[in-house]
Amino acid sequence: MGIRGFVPFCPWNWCLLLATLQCCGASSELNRSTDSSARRELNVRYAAASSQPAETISVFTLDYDYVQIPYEVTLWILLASLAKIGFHLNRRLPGLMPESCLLILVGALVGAVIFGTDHKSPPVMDSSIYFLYLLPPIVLESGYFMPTRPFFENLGSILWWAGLGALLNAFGIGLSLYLICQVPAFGLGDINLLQNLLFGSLISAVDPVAVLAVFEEARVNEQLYMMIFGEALLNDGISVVLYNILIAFTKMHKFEDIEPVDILAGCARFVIVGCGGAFFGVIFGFISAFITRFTQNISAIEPLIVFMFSYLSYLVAETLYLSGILAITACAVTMKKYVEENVSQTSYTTIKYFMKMLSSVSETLIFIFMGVSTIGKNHEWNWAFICFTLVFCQIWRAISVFVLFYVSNQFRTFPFSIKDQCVIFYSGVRGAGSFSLAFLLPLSLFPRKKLFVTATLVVIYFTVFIQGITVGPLVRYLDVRKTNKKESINEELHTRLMDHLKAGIEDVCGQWSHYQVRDKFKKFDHKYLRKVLIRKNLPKSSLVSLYKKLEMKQAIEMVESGVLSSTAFSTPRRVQKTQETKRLSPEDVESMRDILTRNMYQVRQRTLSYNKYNLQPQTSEKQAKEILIRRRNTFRESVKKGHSLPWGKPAGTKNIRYLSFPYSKPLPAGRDMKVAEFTDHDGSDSELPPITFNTHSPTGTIQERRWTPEVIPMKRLHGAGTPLHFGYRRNAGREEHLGRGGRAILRPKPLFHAVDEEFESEEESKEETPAFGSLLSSELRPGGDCNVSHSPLLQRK
Amino acid sequence: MKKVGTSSLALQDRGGLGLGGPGRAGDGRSVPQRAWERGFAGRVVAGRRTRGMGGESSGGVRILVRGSHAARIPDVDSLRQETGFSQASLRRLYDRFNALDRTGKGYLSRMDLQQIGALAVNPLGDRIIDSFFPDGSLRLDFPGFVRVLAHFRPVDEEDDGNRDPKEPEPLNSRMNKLRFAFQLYDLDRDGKISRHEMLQALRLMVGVQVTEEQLESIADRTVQEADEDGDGAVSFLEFAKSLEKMNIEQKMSIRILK
Repeated sequence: MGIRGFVPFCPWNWCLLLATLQCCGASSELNRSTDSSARRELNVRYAAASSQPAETISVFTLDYDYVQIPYEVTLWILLASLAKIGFHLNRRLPGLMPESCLLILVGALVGAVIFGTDHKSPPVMDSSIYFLYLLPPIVLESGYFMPTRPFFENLGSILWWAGLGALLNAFGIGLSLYLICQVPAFGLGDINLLQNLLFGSLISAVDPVAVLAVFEEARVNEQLYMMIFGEALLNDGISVVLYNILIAFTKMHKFEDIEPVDILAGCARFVIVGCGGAFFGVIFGFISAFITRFTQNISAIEPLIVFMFSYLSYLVAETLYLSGILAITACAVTMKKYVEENVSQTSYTTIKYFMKMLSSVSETLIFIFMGVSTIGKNHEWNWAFICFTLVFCQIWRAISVFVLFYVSNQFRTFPFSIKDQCVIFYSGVRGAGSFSLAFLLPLSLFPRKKLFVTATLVVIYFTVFIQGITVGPLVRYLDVRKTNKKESINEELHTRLMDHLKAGIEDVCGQWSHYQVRDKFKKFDHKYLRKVLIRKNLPKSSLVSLYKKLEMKQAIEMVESGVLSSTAFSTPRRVQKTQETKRLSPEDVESMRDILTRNMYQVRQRTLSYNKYNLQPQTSEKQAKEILIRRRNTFRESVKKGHSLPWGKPAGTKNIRYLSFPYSKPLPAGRDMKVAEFTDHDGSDSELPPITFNTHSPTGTIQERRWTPEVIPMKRLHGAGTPLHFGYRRNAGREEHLGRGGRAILRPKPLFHAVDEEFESEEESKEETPAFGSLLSSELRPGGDCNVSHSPLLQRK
Repeated sequence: MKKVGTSSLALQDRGGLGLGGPGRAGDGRSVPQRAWERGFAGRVVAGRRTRGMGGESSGGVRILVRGSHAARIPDVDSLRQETGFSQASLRRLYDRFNALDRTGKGYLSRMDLQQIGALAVNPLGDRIIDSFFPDGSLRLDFPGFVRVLAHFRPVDEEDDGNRDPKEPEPLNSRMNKLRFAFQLYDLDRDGKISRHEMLQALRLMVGVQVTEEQLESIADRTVQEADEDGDGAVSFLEFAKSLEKMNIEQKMSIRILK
C-alpha cells in the first residue's frame, strides 16, 4: 500500500523492516520449537532462584517469553522513532502530510509483519491499560502545551463549539446510522439505537491538532488556531464521558428497560462528571504549584511533582467516577503558569521534553495497535454501514460547524469567516482516540464489534490520509496568499519589512481583551494566588538568572570580538563584490535571495507553532536576544563615532534625548514586588534613593554619554559592585531595572512566544503608581537631556 | 465570552447615550455606565449600527477609562471620518491608548511605546516607534495615534463605493499603505531610498550570520533592481512599482482594526 511510495524517502524503514522480520521470525520459530520446553525452563529458572541449586546449569538458555512484552514494545517505539527521523530528514514531507500518517504506516507495517509471521502480538492494550496508562500522558501533554491566554479569551466559543459540537456529532451520527440500520436490505437490523449512539460518540472524537503542523506555515489566525486546539483538548474528554455513560446504559439495557428517569440521570451525570473532573484538576493544580514553591534545594524532583500530581488528579477523578481527562487537563492548565515560574530552567526543560516523550510513546503504541488490528482477520466489512458512516461523519461535522459558528458569530466581535469554518470542518481528522474507544468495546455487549472497529479504521484512514494530506493545499488555496516563487529581492525584502511592521503595529494595538472576568481574575491572581503559589526569592533563582548570565556572556563576547564585525561570525561562503558588475548572473541573484530568506529575522508570531510530535527549537528567543544585543551595540558604535546614529540621523541632542529611560520606571517586567525592593535597597546603599537622581540628572554631557556604555559590561560582569561615584552609581541602579526588562522579554515562554506584555503591564502599573508623581516632572521637562546616560540595553534613538 | 449584546443591555445602551451628554460627568454612575459600555460594544458587534450612533452622540461620548475616571475621546466624529474606524474600534483604541499611557499624562511619549515588550524584540521596533512621532515631535496624542493605525485598517468594499471622489484618499488606501512602508526606509525624508538607507534597513533585518560584504552587495543589488532612472536610489514610484504584484491591501492590514 502506501509504504511503497514512502520507502524511498527513508531508507531506515527497509533496514528496520528486515531487522524486525528477522527478530519476529526468529522469535516465532523459537516459540514453536521451545513451546514445550519453555515452561519447564521457566520453572527451572524460578527453582534456581529459590535457593535450591539446580541439578544442571544450562550454559545457554533463551527465554523470550520472559521479555516478550517489553521487548516488542521497545522495538515498536524504536521503529516509530527511526521512521520519524527519516520523515524529518526529508524537508518537504512534514509539510505535506501529518505525522500521524507516518505512525499509522509504521503501525500497519508492524501489523503486517506480525500477521505475516503468524506471531501472536502481546495483549498490550486493554481497557484498563488504555485508560490508566496510555491516555493520561496524551491528555496531559495537550493540556500543558495549550496557550492559556488565547484559550481563556475564546473560552465561550471553544466551550460552545467543542462541547456542543461533540454532542451534536455523536447524536447526529448515531441517530442517522440507526435509521440506516432499519433498512432491511443492509442486514444491520441487530444493531440497536444505543449501540449506534455509542458508535457515534466514539467516532466523533476528532484530533484536529494532528493536522495543525501541515498548514502551520499558512499562519492560521489566532482564533482559528484556538478553536482547533480547544476542540482537540475538550473533545476527548467529552467523547469519553459520553462513551462511558452510554456503555453504562448498554449494560443496563441488557437486563432491564431504560426509563426516562435514567436518561435524565444520564444527562445530569454528564454535567457532574465533567464539572467535577475539572474541579479536582484545579485543586490538584494548585496543590502542586504550591509544593513547587519549596523545591528550590531539591530541584531534581520538580518534574516528578508535576507529573505525579497531574496523574494523581486523574486517578482521584477516576476513582470518583468523574472525568479524569478533564481533571488532568484542568490540572495542567492551572499549575503550568505557576510551576513554570517556580521551577528551575532545567526542570522546566525536562518537564517539557518528558511530557512530549510520554505522549508520543502512548500515541505510537496506540497507532501500532491500530496497525496490528488493521491487518488481520478480525474484520467485518459491510459496505452500507461503512460508507454511510463516512458520509455522515462529514455531513454532521459540516452541519455542526456551520450551525454552531453561525450562532457564536452573532456574539463575537471578530466573527469566524467562511474560510475559517471550512478549515475547521476540514480538519476533522480522527485519530488514536476513536480507535482506542472502538477497540475497547466489550464484545459481550457488542456482538458486532468487528464491524464497528472496521468502520472506525476506515474513517481514520480516510480522514488522516485524504483530508490530512489535502488540508494544507486547501488552506493555502483559501488563504489566497501568493506563493510566488519568482520574487525579486525587492519584494522579498519589502515583504519581510511589512511583516515586521505589521507585527509591530499589532503589538502597539495590543489585544482586544478587556473582559471584566479576565481583569477580575488577574487582580485576584495577583493579590492572592501569586503570593501563595510563587516563590519569594524569584529573581535570584530560576530562569531569569540564567538568562541574565547568558546574555551577559554573549554581550561580553561580542564586545571583545569587536562590534559585530564580519569577522565575528564565520560564514560559509561569500558573495563577491558586485558593485562594478552591472549585470548579475541569475545564480548570484538566486543566492542572494537565498541568503535573505534564510537570514532575515522571522516575524514574531503570536500563536507560535505547536507541533504535536516535536518541540521546536526556540529560534525566536535567540533572535530576540540577538536583536537586543545588536541594538545595544549599534548604539555604542554610534556614540563612539559621535556623529551619526547608524540609521543616518544626525545624533544631535534632539535625538539623543529619545534614549531616555525615565527614572524609576522599569520596563514592563516587574514580576514580583521583591525585585523592586531589591533595586531600591541597592540604591539606598549609596544613600541616594534613585528618585533623587532626577534633580541632578542634567549632567548628561556628551562625555558621560560617551563612557557610560563602555562601563556597563564591566559593571555587569562584576555584579553589583561598590559604587565608585555618582554617575556610576546611577547606572548601577538603572542596570538592575534594565537588565530585568531585557530578560523579561527574553524569558523563555513555554512554546508560544507571544510576549505577554498585557499581563505584565497590568502588574507593573500597579506597582509603579507611587513613583508617578516624581516621574511626571522629569518626563515633562522639555529638554530631557537628563535621561541620556543609562544602560544602552534598550536604548534606542 | 462576548455574549453581551443582549436586548436588556441594548436598552441600557440607549439610556447611557442619553446620559452621556457633555454636561454630565461620570460621578457615582459607574455601574450603569459600565453596563452601557458593554451594551454598546455588543450592539456594535451585533447590529453594525455604528454609523447611526455617531449622529446621536454628537456631543461626544463619555468613556470610562479603567472604570475609574471618565474621559472622552476628543473629536470622535471627525476622527471617525478621517480614519474610517468604527466607534467601537475607536473606543478600544482609546482604551489601549490610555493603557499605554501609564502616567495618565494624556499623550504618549516614546518611552511608552518602547515599553511594549514585544516591540523591543522587533527588529524594526525603533523605526516603527519613530513613525508614530513624525518630524521629531515628542508627544503622540490620540488623534495622531489613531491616524497612524488607520493605515492598517483592512480595506473593505463599502469604502470604495461610498467614497466621494473629491475627498482625499482614505488613509488605508494602497498608496498610503505603501507610503507608510516607504517612509520606514526613507529616513532623511528626501523621497528616495538611497543605497545607504537600504543597507541600514538590511542591517536591521538580517541576522548576524551574514557578513557586511554580503549585505552591501545585497543592498546594491536591491537598489539596482528597482532603480529605473539610474540615479542610484529608489524613489517612491519605483518602490511602488517593484511591489505592484503584491497584495499590499492584505499584507498591510490588521484584522482587528476593523
